[in-house]
Amino acid sequence: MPSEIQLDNISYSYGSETLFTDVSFAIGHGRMVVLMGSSGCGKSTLLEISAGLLEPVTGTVRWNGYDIHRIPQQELITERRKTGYVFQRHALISNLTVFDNIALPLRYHTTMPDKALSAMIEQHLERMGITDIRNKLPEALSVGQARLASIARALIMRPEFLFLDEPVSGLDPVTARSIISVLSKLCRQSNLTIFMVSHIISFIEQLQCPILLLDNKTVTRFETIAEARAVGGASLFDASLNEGN
Amino acid sequence: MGNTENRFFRKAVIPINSVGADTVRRLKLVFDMFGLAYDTVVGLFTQSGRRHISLQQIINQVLFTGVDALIIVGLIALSCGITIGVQAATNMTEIGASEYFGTIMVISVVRELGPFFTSLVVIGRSGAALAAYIGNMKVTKEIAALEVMGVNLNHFLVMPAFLGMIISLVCLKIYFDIIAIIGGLFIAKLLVNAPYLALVQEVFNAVEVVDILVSTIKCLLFGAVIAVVSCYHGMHVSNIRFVPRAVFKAVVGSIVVTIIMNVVITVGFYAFRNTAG
Repeated sequence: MPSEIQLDNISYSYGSETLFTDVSFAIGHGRMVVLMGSSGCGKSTLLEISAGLLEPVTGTVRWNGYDIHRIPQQELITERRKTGYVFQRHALISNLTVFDNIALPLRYHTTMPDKALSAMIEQHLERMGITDIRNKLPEALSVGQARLASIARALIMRPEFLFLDEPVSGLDPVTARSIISVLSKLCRQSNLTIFMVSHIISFIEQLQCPILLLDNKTVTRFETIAEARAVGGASLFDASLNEGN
Repeated sequence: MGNTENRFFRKAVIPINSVGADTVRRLKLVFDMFGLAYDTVVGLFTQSGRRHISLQQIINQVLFTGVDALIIVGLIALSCGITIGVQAATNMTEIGASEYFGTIMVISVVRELGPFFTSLVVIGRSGAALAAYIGNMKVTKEIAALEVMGVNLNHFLVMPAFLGMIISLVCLKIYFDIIAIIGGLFIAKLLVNAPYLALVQEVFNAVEVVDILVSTIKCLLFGAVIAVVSCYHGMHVSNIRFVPRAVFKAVVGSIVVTIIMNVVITVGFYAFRNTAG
């Protein structure tokens, strides 16, 4: 069965405020899609719903055809092993070192010997260029280092789906470029399905992937950012989405 | 007329409704906590739970809850022992019951004050810290990160805290008993000039296995309650503003449940003893 994320008729409200209604879209096997929208429109909420962290008021979220809000807890845990999530504020466990943070899902879900586990983590640390911070606690990391460590942790279980919330927001251009390079490579080489939220246009332009624009409480899909700009209106992009551009 | 009825309806029904809603909310809280306690205890006996529990997390909990609390518990135990020693040594000599010095020390320190005072210190230090720690983890999305990695929160957070609290409380209670009895003996020696050996002998004669058993059961239960209540309130923080409230709820909730359990166990113990004896 092809890996895919499928959202059907998703609605969500905070109290009396409706964030979005009847949102439906699908992300195919090995595809990368970016969700854009102005600040406070509910991008991160929609990402959390897609990752099964929040339950929508109405609608269904399916990973590989499984309705993740209806399956039993044990099956959900099994399905979760196929996903990685990178939070906007890294969410590394504060009392574990970078090495232990990355090792956490491996130690929890597998019985891999220590030597093999260390080798695998070293490989991920090298790929992200953060071997020198392996023994540091999250509090001692810069924003960029923490984000890279968080991506390494999300990738350690070789997920089928990767969710990223503003992966390059607040980063220096060098770190942002290295994240773009890692994500592009992953999408090409490992057939990973990537769904991310970003409002930084220069970053989205470099990824050259389809765009979902969350505006007026609904989502519209565009194949390129130029198309989104043409249909969604340049003013929307210039006014709301240009931060960090 | 319709307006009057409406006003009456509002005045009469709304308070009943709010009382009902509050009762349902509190009952739900109690059931949720029992659920968490049940999952934790069951988790300790399942292979999956035992495999995933982190020894390092348990050691950290014991170091923070037990080792770091030695000074404060020691001070409280010493003042407690001296106070009871003064009262027992002076008043009991006056009424000619000085041979009960050991019994008084054992009943008051080993069976009653030891478990209760120790648990109060643990609630104030570790229960509050645990609720704040988990509350902050919730706010910084560390809990969400664990969920998304498929890590069972019970295995990772609650079970180490649960075991760590119980181990620490039992050890701290033994330490409390020793310091308090030494304090009591020291002051009794000063006041009535009784020989140390005789006083120590009285205390040892007064200690029964059942005293140690009852106080250990109290510590096991108090430790479990503190861990479960603190973890529960920490895990139900919705945003940063509610972290202090979670700490407050964890402390108050733990104290209330501990007091109730202490009374129930003590009354139950005496009732059982009287019936059996």
